Amino acid sequence: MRAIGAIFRRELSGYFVTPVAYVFLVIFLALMGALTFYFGAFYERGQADLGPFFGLHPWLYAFLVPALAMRLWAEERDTGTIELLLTLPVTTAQAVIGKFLAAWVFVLFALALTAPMWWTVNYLGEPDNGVILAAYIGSGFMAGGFLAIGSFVSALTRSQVVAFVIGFVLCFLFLMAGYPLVLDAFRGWAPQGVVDAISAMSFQAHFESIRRGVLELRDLIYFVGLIVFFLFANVTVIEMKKGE
Amino acid sequence: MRFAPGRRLQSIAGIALAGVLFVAVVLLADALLVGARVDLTEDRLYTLSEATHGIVEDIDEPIEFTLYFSNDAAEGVPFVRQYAQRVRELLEEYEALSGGRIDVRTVDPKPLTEARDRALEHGLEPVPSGTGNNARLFLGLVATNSTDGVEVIEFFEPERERFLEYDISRLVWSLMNPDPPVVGVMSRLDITERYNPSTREPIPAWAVVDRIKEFAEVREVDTPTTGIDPEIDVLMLVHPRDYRERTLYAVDQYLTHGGRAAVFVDPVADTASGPTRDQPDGRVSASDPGPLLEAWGVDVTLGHAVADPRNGLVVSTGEGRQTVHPGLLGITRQGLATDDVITATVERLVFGSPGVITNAEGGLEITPLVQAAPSASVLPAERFVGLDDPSELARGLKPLGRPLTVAARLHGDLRSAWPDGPPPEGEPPAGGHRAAAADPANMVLFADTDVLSDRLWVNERRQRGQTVREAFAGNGDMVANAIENLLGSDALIGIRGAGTSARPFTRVQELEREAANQFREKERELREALEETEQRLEALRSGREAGEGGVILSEEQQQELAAQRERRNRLRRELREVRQRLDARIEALGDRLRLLNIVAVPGVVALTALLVFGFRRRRRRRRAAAAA
Repeated sequence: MRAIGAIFRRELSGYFVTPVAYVFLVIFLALMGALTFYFGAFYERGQADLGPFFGLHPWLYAFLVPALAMRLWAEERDTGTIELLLTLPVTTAQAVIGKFLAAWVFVLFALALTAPMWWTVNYLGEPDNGVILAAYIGSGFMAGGFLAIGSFVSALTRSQVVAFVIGFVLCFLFLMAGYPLVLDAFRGWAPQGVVDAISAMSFQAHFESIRRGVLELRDLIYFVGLIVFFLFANVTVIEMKKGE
Repeated sequence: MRFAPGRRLQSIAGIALAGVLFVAVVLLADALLVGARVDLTEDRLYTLSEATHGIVEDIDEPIEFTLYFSNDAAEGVPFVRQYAQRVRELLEEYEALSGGRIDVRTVDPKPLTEARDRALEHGLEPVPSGTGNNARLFLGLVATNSTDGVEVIEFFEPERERFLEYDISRLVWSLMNPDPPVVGVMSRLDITERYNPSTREPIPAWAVVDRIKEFAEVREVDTPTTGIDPEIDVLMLVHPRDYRERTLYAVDQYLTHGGRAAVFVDPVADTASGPTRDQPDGRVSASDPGPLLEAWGVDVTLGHAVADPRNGLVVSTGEGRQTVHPGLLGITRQGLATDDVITATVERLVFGSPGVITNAEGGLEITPLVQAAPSASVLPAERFVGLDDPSELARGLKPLGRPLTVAARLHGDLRSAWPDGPPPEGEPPAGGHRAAAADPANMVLFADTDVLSDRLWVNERRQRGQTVREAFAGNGDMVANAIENLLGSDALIGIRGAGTSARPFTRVQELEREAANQFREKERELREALEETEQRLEALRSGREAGEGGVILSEEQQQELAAQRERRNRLRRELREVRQRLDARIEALGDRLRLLNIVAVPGVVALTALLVFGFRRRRRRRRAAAAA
């Protein structure tokens, strides 16, 4: 636990040493605001809820979170610091969890900085703040899911660009899992059970379910399970590569 | 250290296994953990109400729910799929709550299957899926019990999502109460079917009665009477007047013994008012429910009726001219209680010179269902009768500036109008005289009877020798909803539509309202100025014609005329400016909020970054300098 804490602190403070974190925050917040107001027509529709805002989150995450996660392991591998990291008295699992948690907390921090949006909607009308709270919780878990995928992909390669592109595609597929775009690729040959299983893997469906204002155990199990699975794969891949 | 190929394979197998495990856990959780949830919505939108708990607990015969959903056909219609999921899960919650007395099955009625035939047999109504292949979608429910009871929801309309629980609970309740409900009609207006003694031909019942007959038996209550048949589930009391005391006492005791009623009283019952052969000047037929309203602690203005020039219906006068009738109120959704099942699904109602409902302290609690707009006002009832030009009602009418309740639910502790015992000619019912009802009473009160009449909500048309009625307002639906609602259990009556989906930007609305007020003020000034100018011009012209000042206006007159014109132009300009300024205020608010969220927040982050890095660089330089 202490080892995880050490890695977590080192990583998190690391974000703020370079301008990368600030650039990410600025882009994230500006895009979030601009797309909500212009693409989502937040002000013009005159409804006191954050529907257009949260509707954007999956898409923005699919794009921005892989960008944040791409360096997690690819950079370490590229610069060779991974050797150093793994000679420290920490297990691979501890390192993976520590790094993941630091990145997650950073994304949650970015999410927290969207609080003016919440203030805005409360200023304009009387929204259902329970629904907004649920949506924020769902968004936080979804970000964790995307991040776990990104972290895993980052461990697969030395190149951050490759990590970003593959991460983005994988996140996008998970996002679209419930839609014909993905399902049609399976429908021809796979049994219905498999198609149903794939559609049950959809980020979108589970996030939508929470976004209504209901925290369901099964949605939380989905996101936590997804994070655990990809972190497990992450650890396995690093162990595997360590041996090579 | 060499990594053995065997271990590599092992790792990949390990990841694959974990993947399968993950998918399995998610699928299992999806199937098994229905209902394990925290409902964070303000109105507990996704939690079964107390009323439903009560109804489900009372189930004696096991019930089977068969949900017919065209899973295949709905593939390309995600929002229907989503709604079907919501319906299924809600049904499953009923199942979980029932402790085995409710069983839920889902069936896909694919084309050319037995299931489809069964669905159609039960009267389910598929809708076109809207996708290319002309598929028809089923999303309906058949509920059966072991005593051959069958109740059906033909199609779950997503627009009725707020009443989903009400609809299902109501269905369960009907299944448990299979006897057809009885509605008693006690009316001074001829609303039920009757015979015309001179032509010996039947006069059809009003359309609203036919609407009620779709779900209940309608029984006429003959008056005078000494007791209302306890078999009557809901009493529809229409335009009570000239009733003998014993009849009113019978109604009173029916209610104190737990009866439910929909009451229609009216300051001007149009269908019974107006010039008659006996009274060619016209007379007002106002309801007189005796001491009943007073005993309930409810007041209806039976000497005054509501008029609203702004929302009046357009009617044709005798000479074929169109004019606004301020006494015929068109009421749109803004005036309707959107969270009440009686009015929520109604788009538009038409009332005819209704009264205004208020309650006295300590009386029954009133919950407004229908309200006339704040632009409405009240006028003495006599003004509404024998009108040649209805628009004259608008003359000098000042808006009261507040919504006026014309229909409401009544709920609470009901007291008899005869607290000291039956009146001399009255007969107490079987259960004995009651000075007050034992349980809280539920009633619906309408301050209008014309709302029932065909002419305010249906058009009749002859088609192939048959009369076809077409509704142009929701009056019939509203009355049917009210009666149907009163027929249910007390618990059902208590279920409100879960939350209103509309949550407008109140701050923007406020600005708009302010804008409208200022605009109206300017407009009025302008109109007065215009009138004044016109009058001046007219005066000048007539003065000229009379030969007083000759053809040429005096300098003074010319100056005055110019001043008037100048004033008129200025006001016009101001009016435009007011409009623009107020629109601009709303836009400016939007701009400020955009600026805050798109520029200011990221800007603060960027500024922080600059400060942090600037500070660090300075420190580094200083250190470097110190080291040197």
